[in-house]
This record gives sequence, C-alpha cells and structure tokens, in this order.
Amino acid sequence: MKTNRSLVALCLTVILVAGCATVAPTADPVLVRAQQSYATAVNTCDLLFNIELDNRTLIESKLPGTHATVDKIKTQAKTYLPKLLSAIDTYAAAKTAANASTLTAVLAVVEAFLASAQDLITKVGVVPPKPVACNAFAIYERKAA
Amino acid sequence: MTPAIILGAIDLITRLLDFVKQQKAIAAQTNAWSPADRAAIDAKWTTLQASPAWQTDADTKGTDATK
Repeated sequence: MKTNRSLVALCLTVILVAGCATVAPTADPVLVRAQQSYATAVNTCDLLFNIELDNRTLIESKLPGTHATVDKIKTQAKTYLPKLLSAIDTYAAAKTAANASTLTAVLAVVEAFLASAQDLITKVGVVPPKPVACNAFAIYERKAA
Repeated sequence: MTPAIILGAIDLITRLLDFVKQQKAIAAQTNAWSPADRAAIDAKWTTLQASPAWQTDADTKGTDATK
C-alpha cells in the first residue's frame, strides 16, 4: 500500500498548498481564504465519509473506533459548515470587525474537525481497500482454485 | 494480492486523484465567489445532504424509526 500512502501524502500537501496561493490585489484575502477553507472542508469530509461508508467493516476491523469518530465529524460538519457559509455571506455583505470575528471563530471550529478528518484519511488510506465485486474475476478465481 | 483487491486499490486511487484535482481548483481561486459559484456551492451542499455517506447514525435511526 506504498502507493496509497504516497497519494494520501500528496493530497494533504495539496491541502496545505491551497492556503499559500495568491489572492487577486482587489480581492479580500480574509474572504477568499474562508471560502477556500469551506470548499476544502466539504471536499475532505466528502472523501472521508465515502471511503468510510464503502469500507466500513474492513476499516472498523483494522482501526476500531473509526466509525464513531467519523460519525462525530459528520455531526460537526453538518452543524458548522452551514454556519461557516452563513458567516462568509454575512462578512461578504458587511466587512465589519464583528463579522470578521464571527467568521474567524467559526473557521477555527471547522479547521479543528478538518484536521481530524485529514488525520483519519491518512490512516484509512493505508488500510487495504475492500475487494470490489467483479464477476469476471470471480470466474477467474474459481478456475484458479 | 487478488484481482479484486487490485480493483479496490484502483478505486481508492481514483478517488484520491479526483480529490487532488478538486483541491487544485480550490487553490487556484484568487477572487471571491461569483453569484454562480455561490449557487453551485448551495447545490452541492443540497446534494451532499441527500448522500448516504453524509448520514449520521442518528439520521439513519431516525429514518428507520419512521418506517
């Protein structure tokens, strides 16, 4: 699973690089960074939730407690991602210090569970994936046996 | 390593590569979302909420209880 480990490392590097890209001179860096964080959080959670759902039994046997952790991250994502989006909209409409403060506070919560999600993807990425049902290969394996 | 496990590994690698592609697009953002981008964000969120992968255990139990 060396390839999987390398790919997971690549994914996480891309996440980090996303925070280093330039922002247009006329754009508000706070707003653009918050929007990038939102999009990153949504994509990261979606990747984790789908991998965990499709490989639940295998992952739980190799990394017990993963399902409970993923379920907790799901609850946080469903609560705080809409709040982050709302804070982004509010800040975009009125760039006041109070709105910036609210945005920063919600962003901190999202970044905390995003770090947990990224950590889990790294762990889950090195677990061999579930076998995919394929009749052609099943026939091949029966013949080989 | 059986062919089935190789296919599973290909599936995971495909998902990871797709994720990298999405992240590159996010990193390339230099301006705030346009109204079309914002509408796409809402549409994606609605789709994700309906996805089985995003259902918590509580959501699933709630659904089962109504049956």
